[in-house]
Amino acid sequence: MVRGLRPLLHCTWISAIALILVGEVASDPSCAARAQGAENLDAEYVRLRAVNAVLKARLSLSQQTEPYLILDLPGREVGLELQGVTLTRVPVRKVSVNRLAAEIADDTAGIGFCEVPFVLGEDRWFEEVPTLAVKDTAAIMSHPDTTGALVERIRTTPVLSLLRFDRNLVVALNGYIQPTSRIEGWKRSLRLLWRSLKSKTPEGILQSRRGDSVLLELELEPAQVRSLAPNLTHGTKMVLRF
Amino acid sequence: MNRSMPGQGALILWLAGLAILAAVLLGACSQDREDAVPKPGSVGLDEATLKRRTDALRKENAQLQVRLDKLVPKEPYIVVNTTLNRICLRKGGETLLDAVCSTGSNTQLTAPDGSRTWFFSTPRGVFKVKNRMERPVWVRPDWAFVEEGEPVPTASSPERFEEGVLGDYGLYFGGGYLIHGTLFQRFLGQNVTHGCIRVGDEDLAQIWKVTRVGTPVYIF
Repeated sequence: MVRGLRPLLHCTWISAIALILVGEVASDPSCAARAQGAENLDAEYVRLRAVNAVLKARLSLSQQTEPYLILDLPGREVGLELQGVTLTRVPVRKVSVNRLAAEIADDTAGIGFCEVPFVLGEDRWFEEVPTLAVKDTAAIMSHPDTTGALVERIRTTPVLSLLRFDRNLVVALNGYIQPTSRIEGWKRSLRLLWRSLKSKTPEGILQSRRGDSVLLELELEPAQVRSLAPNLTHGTKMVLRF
Repeated sequence: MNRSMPGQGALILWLAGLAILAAVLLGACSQDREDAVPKPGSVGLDEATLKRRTDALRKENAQLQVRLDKLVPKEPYIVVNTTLNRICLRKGGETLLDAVCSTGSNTQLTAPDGSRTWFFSTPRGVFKVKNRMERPVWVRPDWAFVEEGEPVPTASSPERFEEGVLGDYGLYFGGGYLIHGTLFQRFLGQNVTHGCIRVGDEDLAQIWKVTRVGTPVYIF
């Protein structure tokens, strides 16, 4: 029994020495730390370049008389600025990007793509109940109840704003109140899926954009989308930070 | 011989296990080393250059931020959201007041004979307060008479002048538009005006206190 154990004992010694050697190599501070340091510096440089591009674009756009959009994806925020003054800043609940956008988001390529502000070429607006314009002031003055309903609709009715910029960039501002229950959420997802199968529905149009454009989908509160909408017209500029 | 066989087998097994373990650990370490080398699509600069450029960028960004900060008025300024009907009074990055207001209804009025059309919207853009008025008198424009179905009087007709309907204060920012008070407090928060910006009495008093001729008004 003792003899049978001897090779195993011998083996244990070898393994101990080997493990110490391996441990030495793995724990070499000049290996892991240097790699980590270089990686951090690399990331910091890329981050600063992206910030630099945004700052330069904002400064250049501050000279014009029209408002411009600042879309900060890492900060999950959409801002509207005019001559360097922030008019509004809107938190983005969720950001989704398609495959093309994900490819561009790669470090340096993303900066190159975003260096020059984007120009809005087409905007499409979809809402089930029109809420932006009031039909008749006099009618509203005589029916105060309807005005309360209108304010409520501005705040809560779902809306989709589809913005097509140059360089094949499409930004979808999807405004809706998050469902309160999981079942409601599933119902909504199913409804959207069903609608996306039809080409003429907003969801169908969005689906077709997924394949051929750099698509960014942002989820916001409906009232915030409506606040931004009147300021987003043909030629509006946008600064994008990936 | 037969007895030594299990021992040799175990040794081989141990050695094989150790070799695999060593390979995995060395592989992980070499992967770390490989990551330190810029990958295609990464910045592709040596460490010294990268550090120098990073420092330069940091300085440049700080300078750009200072230039941007200078664009924000140092004095109080007004920001109006015409969709949500909110009026804000800000100073630098600080919000001094965020209140409800009423802005243009975005409706159209056409004279009965079809000769003239008015569109009642609040203008968007940057303006400046041009005139400050206490107890402003409303000089009724032509559309006010057309809307009521009344004949339009001459420009100097006494019928044109109406007191008390614009509240305690008025801030004129050009184009015939004012920020003023209202008799219809219950319509605050709604798009019901002919283009002017109506504010509640207390909020208007606060705005009045801190604004002057030249105060910027940003409307979006």
